[in-house]
Amino acid sequence: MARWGMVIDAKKCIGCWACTMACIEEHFLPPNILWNRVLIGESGKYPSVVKEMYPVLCNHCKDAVCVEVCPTGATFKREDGIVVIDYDKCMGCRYCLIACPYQQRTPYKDDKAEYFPGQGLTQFEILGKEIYPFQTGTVVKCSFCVERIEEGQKRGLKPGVDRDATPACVNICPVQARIFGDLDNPYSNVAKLIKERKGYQMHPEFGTDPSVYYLD
Amino acid sequence: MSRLMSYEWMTKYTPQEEWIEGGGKLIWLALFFTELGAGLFFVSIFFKNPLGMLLGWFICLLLGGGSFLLHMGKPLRSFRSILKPQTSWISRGVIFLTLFGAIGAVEIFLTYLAPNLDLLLLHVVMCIFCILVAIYAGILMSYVRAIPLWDTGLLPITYLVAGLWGGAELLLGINLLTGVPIERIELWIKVLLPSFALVLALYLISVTSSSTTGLTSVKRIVSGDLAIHFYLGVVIIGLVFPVTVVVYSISVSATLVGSPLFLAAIVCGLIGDLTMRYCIMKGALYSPLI
Repeated sequence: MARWGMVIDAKKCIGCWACTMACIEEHFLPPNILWNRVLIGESGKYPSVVKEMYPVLCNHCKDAVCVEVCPTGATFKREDGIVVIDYDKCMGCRYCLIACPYQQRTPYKDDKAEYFPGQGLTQFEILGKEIYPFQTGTVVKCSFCVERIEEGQKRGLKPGVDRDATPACVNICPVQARIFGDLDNPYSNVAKLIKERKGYQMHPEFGTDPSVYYLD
Repeated sequence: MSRLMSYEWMTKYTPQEEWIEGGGKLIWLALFFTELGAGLFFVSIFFKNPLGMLLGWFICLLLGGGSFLLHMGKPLRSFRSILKPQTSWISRGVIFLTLFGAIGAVEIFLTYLAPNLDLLLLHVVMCIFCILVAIYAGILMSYVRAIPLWDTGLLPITYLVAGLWGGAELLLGINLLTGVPIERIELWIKVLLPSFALVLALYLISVTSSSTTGLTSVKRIVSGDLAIHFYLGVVIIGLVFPVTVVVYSISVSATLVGSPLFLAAIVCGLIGDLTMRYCIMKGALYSPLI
């Protein structure tokens, strides 16, 4: 069984936020909920200041602390390494949200929130509520576009290679800073990149073994 | 700490808000009430005070458990929370609370119904569950490695001592109001009050050496935006005033110290405990990701 993971080339990222927008579009995310963000920092001193872009998303950790602390089993890890939430089981204690060192979980509190307050829901928002019926009071997070992966695999497509089986944020990236693939396959594109360019995980000291690697 | 701008999120020290802002304050209250109730029940067992046990049971389950339930996004699903005791401290806590409630109800019932019955085994079992209920929230928080202010073994001990100290204070209040002699419980107070101050100081000092994020959290509490809460609520109201009353009661005699003064010290002690928990919840910071 594959262990899906992502490699993000921080040197290539131009901070366009297209991944964030593609994610919102793909999952019909309501206002104030982002599953993909770009953290922007600076290093060095004037006149040699370097702007650093770090796209962040759920790390789908191998030893995910959110899975450990969830009292109901609503957050669980699939065989392919993707950490998902069963919204029907989540009781909204938010311990997972507190425990995540990467802060990649968001409480879904307000199902009345509109993108254009006071002007009613757009067709996009109405469709989103039908396709992704998030439940108020539960916690939401990035799913590595698990529905795309599943549907693609059913059609014989290969995640990370075929666009229809690959997460939306990977497809949209204009500079191909994101690469998706099987971390357990030493011949996969992601495994090769991690080995060749010394890919690293964000804050490995937390001991969660993230499935998202970065390249500098 | 001024409010973070959205572009500063996780690129600077980011405060924990989910369990202290808005509805999150219910968790703060839930932890206070469950531990206070368990502490009161524990102390009441030693002093064979059924009223204290009953009050401790209500505080722990109704106020503490009720606050937990109110905080949940989907409280009707809370029955599911006992499903993962093998890894989740919330599951374990719910099991401890449930058993505390069930066995405690039997013990209170028997204490009132058959006061001469030997309930030693039940007392021992309930003492264990009181300790478990009083300590589990601290362990639950100390399990969060991402927050250095909480990620220490001294936090559960601090919460346990605070719970017992609060329970002893409440029992002193009950005794004062019901005319029961207070000499013996006062001895507990004399031991628990300095213990609480010592454990709290050790806890804060230990966090400062854990990481820069831990140090920043403690600085926020002792010299930052939470300093007013810490010095006024925890130090002056919660410690200095009760210590003054205790020292005064030692210098004269406990019976000569007026009840209103003792009751004021009790209320101040509880305010101090509540404020300390607020500072610990509010002062929690996540390390920047980049």
